[in-house]
Amino acid sequence: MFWLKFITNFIKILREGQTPKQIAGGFALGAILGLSPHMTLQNLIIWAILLVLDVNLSAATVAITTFALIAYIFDPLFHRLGYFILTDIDSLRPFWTSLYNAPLAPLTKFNNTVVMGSFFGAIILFLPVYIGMKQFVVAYRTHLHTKIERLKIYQIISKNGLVQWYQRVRDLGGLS
Amino acid sequence: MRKKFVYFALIPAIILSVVVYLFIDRWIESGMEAAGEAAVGAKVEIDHLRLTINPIAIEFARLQVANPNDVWKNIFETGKVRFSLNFGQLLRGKYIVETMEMNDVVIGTKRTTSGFIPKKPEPPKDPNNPGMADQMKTLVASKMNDAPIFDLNILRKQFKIDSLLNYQNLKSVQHFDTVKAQVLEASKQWDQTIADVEKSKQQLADAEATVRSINVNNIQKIDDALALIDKVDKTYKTVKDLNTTFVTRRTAITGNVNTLYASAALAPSILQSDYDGVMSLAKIPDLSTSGLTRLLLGRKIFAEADKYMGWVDQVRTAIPKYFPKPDIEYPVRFKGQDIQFPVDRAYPKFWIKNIALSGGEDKKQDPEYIYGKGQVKNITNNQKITGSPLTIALKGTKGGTHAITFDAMFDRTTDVSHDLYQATLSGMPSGDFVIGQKDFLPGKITNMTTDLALKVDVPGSGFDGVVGADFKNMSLVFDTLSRNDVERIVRSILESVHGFHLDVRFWNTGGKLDVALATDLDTQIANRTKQVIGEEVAKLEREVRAKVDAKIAEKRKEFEAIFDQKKKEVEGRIKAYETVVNDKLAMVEAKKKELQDRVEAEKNKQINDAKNKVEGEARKKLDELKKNLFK
Repeated sequence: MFWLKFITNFIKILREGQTPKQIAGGFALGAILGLSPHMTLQNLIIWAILLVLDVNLSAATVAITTFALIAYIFDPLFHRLGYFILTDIDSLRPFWTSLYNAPLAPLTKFNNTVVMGSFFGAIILFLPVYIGMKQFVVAYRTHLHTKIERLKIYQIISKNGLVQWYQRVRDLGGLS
Repeated sequence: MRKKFVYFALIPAIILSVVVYLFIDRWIESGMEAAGEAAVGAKVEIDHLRLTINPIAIEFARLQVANPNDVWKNIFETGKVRFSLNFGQLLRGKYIVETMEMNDVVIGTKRTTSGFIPKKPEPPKDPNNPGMADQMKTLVASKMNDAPIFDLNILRKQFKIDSLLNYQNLKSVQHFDTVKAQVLEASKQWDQTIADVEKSKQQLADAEATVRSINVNNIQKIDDALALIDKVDKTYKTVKDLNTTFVTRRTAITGNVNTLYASAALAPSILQSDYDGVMSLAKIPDLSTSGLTRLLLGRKIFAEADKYMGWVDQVRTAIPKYFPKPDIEYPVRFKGQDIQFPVDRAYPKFWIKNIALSGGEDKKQDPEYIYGKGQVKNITNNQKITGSPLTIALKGTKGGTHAITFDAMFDRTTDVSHDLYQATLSGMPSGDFVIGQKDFLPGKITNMTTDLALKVDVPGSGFDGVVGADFKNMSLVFDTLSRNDVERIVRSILESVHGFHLDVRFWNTGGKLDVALATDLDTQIANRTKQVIGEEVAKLEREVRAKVDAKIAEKRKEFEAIFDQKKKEVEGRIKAYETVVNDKLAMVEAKKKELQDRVEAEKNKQINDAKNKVEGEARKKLDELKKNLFK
């Protein structure tokens, strides 16, 4: 039930409501959180930014879930990337060493190869994800949504008895 | 900006902060109390704990640690305690305290509530690896059983020398038995030698016959005489060879006899060893050594050592226990690899670098209270990381006048642990020193002052402890009245002793725990006591010595009888043979001389005959010549 609501809400947001920037912003920040494997200091900061800025939380939730699943596939790649950044770039070693001895360093877990690789990857991907998502929302709202609503799968889901019952209950409770 | 969310997040955060602010002190207090109780095994109470954020520090008004062996008393309680934590290391989950101030520590204070907490069952002890306290109990039991009997009546009753003494075990007796066996073995060799000599008698008889067959008067020519001389020479050589062989063997036998006789002489060490062995069996106290000290002070000293050994054992085994349990690992989707970078310095999980201590006993309970101050350094869960052993250095006074020092070191920086304790104490009134004797010896020592120096070295599972003590101004107190004159005299002698020096050493460097006592008290008391009971003991000793001497004399006589008999026998036969050989030699020499005289005479006769013949012929020729000239 939650997932059905989740998907319909997300599709609804794509169609109307918040601006494409807000949706893309929530999605891009959610992507960073989804790609990071550990609860770290930098993740807490991202969470704070996410909650404080008026970005779309549903988009962020979709991004966290989606990118967390993708992260499983890319973990070996992030490990290699993190290992390269931490060990193979000699010019950065003094910086890592001083950071390693800094008081807050243990909270960032920066010296873990997967943490470093995934965070670096997420930062690199942040702008493309943001721009891509923004363009997708704009495109969706102008012409894609009519095509999607014609898709059989969308009609099956929207006419599903369970979903309709849920929507009635939801509307009675004023949850929407 | 999501303003509503900011309020939504801020208000719970403020509420949470307020709750934490109000209760964090209590939570930390409870956590520390629980950790302390787990370590001590009795109640640990902290009053008014307060956490400050900048700098991160904890302070509390009082800490009470109950004594698990006496739950109505504290091991110690403190006044105000304050320590700050290294914030950087705290973020890494490490508790590093630079300096802790612990003032007004009071030892042994009374509690208003019981400090009891239910104890966890102790793990079963390994019987193959007993602790030092267990070893001490065994040692004490053994030493007390070995303690000499000092009651004269008991001594007399138990003193049955014949039942104690197995004569065959005396080294002196064994010695004579051995030498006797050697004499018997040697006499067989002598008999064999004599038998060999007997065989040569036939050669002597042949030589004699040869010589006797020569008749000098029958010699006609000088060549015959010379041939006979040659024959006699050969016979002489034969007899001389026999004599040489005989002399060699006689010398060997004589040397053997002398050696055996010399070896029969008893070494003083063997005799002393026999006396000592019998004295030990009879448990006759040795008044010149440690007998009396062990008797007077042994129980008390061993009991005290047993108590403190328990503490040493506990400390030795407890300090390594503080290695932390490993943190629980939660599986992550992909673990990755932690890259290590050079660190300024490594820190253990827990490290109090320095504790400044001051305090002592409760002066309300004891006006002669101990007060001291000092430092405890490097309390940590892992000395291998800090590289520094835990050290304690305390100095203090008792009653404000008597000096006390205590230093300790607990080294776990290497694979083999090493603990070292040193303490000194001077001019300390010791109160009543209960000895616990119930016989005619003193029951306690009173009014004593003590100068004490202690050093205990615990390397690994080894132990070497030395205590040196000077006891002064003492009086010996007896539990019972004198029952006879001897006891009265002994008491008067003991009462005149007012001080002594004592050295006690416990060690197990050879593997087994052992103890040694050395004191001049022995000499002092022994010199006085010897005059009274020494005569009785000496009488017993004389009795023992007489018994041992009698048995030895009996064995010596037995040996000498056999020795003399064998010696006489062999010497007689040697003497007889010597006479025969000498007779034969003399006879051969006489015959040779006779022959030589005969040759000499014949030689002279033939010369004279030739001379007369030449002279006759010459005279005859001269007469013929005269006749022809005067014709």
